[in-house]
Amino acid sequence: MGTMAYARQALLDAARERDAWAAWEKAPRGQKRPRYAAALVPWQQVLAGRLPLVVTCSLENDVLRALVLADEFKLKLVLAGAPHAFRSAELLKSRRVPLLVSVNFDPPRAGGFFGFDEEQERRRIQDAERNPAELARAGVPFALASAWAPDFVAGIRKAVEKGLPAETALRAATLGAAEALALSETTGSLEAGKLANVVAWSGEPFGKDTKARYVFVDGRLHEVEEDERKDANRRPSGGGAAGGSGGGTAGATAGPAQEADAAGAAAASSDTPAKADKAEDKPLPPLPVAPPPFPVGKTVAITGGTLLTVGPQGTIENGTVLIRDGRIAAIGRDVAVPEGAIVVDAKGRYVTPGIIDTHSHTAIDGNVNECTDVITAETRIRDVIDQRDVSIYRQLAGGVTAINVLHGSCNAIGGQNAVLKLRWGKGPDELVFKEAPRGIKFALGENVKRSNFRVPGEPRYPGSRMGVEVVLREGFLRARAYKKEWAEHEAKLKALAAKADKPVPPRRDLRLETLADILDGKILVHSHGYRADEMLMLMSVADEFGFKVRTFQHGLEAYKIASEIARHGAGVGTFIDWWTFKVESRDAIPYNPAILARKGVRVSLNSDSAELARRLYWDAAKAVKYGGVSEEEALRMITLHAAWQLGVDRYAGSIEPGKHADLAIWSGHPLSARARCEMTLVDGQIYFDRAADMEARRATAAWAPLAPGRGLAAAGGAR
Amino acid sequence: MIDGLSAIGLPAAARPGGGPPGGGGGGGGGPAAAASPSPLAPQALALDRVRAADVSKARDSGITTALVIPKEGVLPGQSAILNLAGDRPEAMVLRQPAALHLHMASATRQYPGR
Repeated sequence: MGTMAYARQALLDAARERDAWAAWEKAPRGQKRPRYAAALVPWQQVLAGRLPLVVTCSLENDVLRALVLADEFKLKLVLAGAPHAFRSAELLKSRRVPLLVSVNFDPPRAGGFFGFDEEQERRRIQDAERNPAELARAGVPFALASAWAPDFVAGIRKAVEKGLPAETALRAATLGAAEALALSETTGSLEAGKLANVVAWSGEPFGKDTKARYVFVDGRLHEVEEDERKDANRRPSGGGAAGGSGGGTAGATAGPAQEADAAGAAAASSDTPAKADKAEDKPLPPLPVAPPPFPVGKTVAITGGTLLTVGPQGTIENGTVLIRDGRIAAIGRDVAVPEGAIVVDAKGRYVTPGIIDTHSHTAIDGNVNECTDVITAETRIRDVIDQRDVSIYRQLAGGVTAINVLHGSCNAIGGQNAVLKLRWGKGPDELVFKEAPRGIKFALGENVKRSNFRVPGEPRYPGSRMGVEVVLREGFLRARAYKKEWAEHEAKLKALAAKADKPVPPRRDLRLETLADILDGKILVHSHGYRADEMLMLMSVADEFGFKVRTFQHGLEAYKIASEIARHGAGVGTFIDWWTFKVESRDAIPYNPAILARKGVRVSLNSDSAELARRLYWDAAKAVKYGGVSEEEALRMITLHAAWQLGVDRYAGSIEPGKHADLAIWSGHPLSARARCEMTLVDGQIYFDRAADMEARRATAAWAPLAPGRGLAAAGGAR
Repeated sequence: MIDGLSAIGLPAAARPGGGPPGGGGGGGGGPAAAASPSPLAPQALALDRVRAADVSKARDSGITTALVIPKEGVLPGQSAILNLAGDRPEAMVLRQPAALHLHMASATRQYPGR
């Protein structure tokens, strides 16, 4: 997340410095000399197309990110690493970006916010190993690279074992690599006039026991080191076939004669793998698949169910929801179902708007926090969406259709959010809830002053709640100055004659630009905070600078200041019955939502957890129990109020004509503990269907023990 | 063979876990070689840190040409493309600088994290 923001800023700075120097050199008199920054020079080379940018990709979507960056700034791009490149095969084929694919099959672990997921990690490694073979199958041109693995040849051998044709492998490690590096006129094949870089092997280049025997570089023979051969000779080897003429002694078969560090590395990696190899080979169950979409233009009718609209029409018994082009076209008891419409029978079932989770960290690739600075407003969750997070599907199974994916709470002003619709199976950009306004994460209290965990390295300001306030105030003072600087520049431009040289604009600062947008009310502020005093503090800072807090997130002490929150106009996204999990949550009470609701505050009940996210309807039911919130208001806390908090209540949150057809169908009243989500629709398309899911599980051997009918007896054994 | 992404010839200080450099340690590492590079050093040149003596192991495995850039950091600098023979790094150059490098997902404690 931070990497993307940083690269953007560096490229913007490089372009500006370039222009500033050009302007100064042209007319230096009376003008301030620009500063020289060595770090910007290579970026300027990249912008000018004189130097390619090689982006090493670790995660699947890093490839997309690199392409986004290259497109934004028109860069000459080379992709490297990319252990899951085959998943983007079509894109790579159409873009024809040089690709240096890793044969380093120990990709870094991407520990998500909720820790390390072993299954996910195994999936990643299995992906990496078959990546070259799959790319070859898909017809994507690529080169192979060691990507810093200690043994390039061993890596290639593994790729060949996993199905990469040896011939393709050889080309990818020679001419293919030369092409990717724009060196194919110089080297990469045995052709007259090219560099005499030649290797004589003891057998087939990537054979099991094959070794390089003679290596010529620039036409000069470099003997393969003596002691290595001696070592090889010590082993009883059968592979010395390649006749040892010249100075060569007997066959250079695969000996253990690596140098100390390589041997160490091999040993280290071969002791776990003895076990891991087996686990690796076990096929993983495939990711679930959403049912096939309805044909474009088809009308869909959900009939016979009890509609809990959460809108002005309240509850409609035996009602029909008519869906056209992904929108709700009509609802009611007497809605005629047009001929040819697809009918979803919901007799005996309840239909509600899809649940909206206002606090989520689902589907984030890599780190959820950019902790390295106290304000990181320039970072964007949108840059790091992982559409393959299976939690998306699991949340659909809990009736959830949209989520507010937030940056973590490690700094006073964190990154910008992404509101997603759970269109499982679609790419990262297609998950975005397009109508949602921008939002940003703020945080207050313990996490910002970093008191809940040990952080290595230098302590970071602030270390107290007082400091948090200073950071906010300072940030917005700087943002004001930034706005002023730009306004003055714009005014200067206007005053200039049309043909006059334009002054170099002020530096674009992506961080301050975001803060300025907050001041202008263009970004919704979602602030993590537990204690009443710090929420009051943020509201007073917001009043001082003239912006609004849209939601307090968590807000466990909000009931103490319900009137103040109502007056400010903020919503509260909270938990119903979590307390004493940290020092700040000591005063939490389950009556918090009820008290806030009574004061007119729009409350949402949210998850902050991939697990809780699929059971939010239970939490809504608890709000009825604690403080007697009406059933309708309880449902609003997971639908309409949530939609308002995210600025999408015109589009979602209730079943009303004109809104998006984001719906959940339940086996019983969703506030009953016995109710279960049967079907979930987003934009009028079914993304989860319990019946189809059960069918699919029966068909998948690995899941069979959990399929209905086989049930717990098979899965759980004797109890 | 051509290795398009490697640290061949770079001191092991630039590799995770440290440990002695691959080639059985010639030279004991000059100050430039020992200094750990900043994670954000687009102006750094990998060539400055190459030790000609340290490429022989890679060459023995059948690699004749390599792009060289440290694995660590977010912006580890500019790579060089080298032919793996020569008594000085300069004598090995096929292209210098070869490219600017950006590593996604290298966690550091400095900005940017990831």
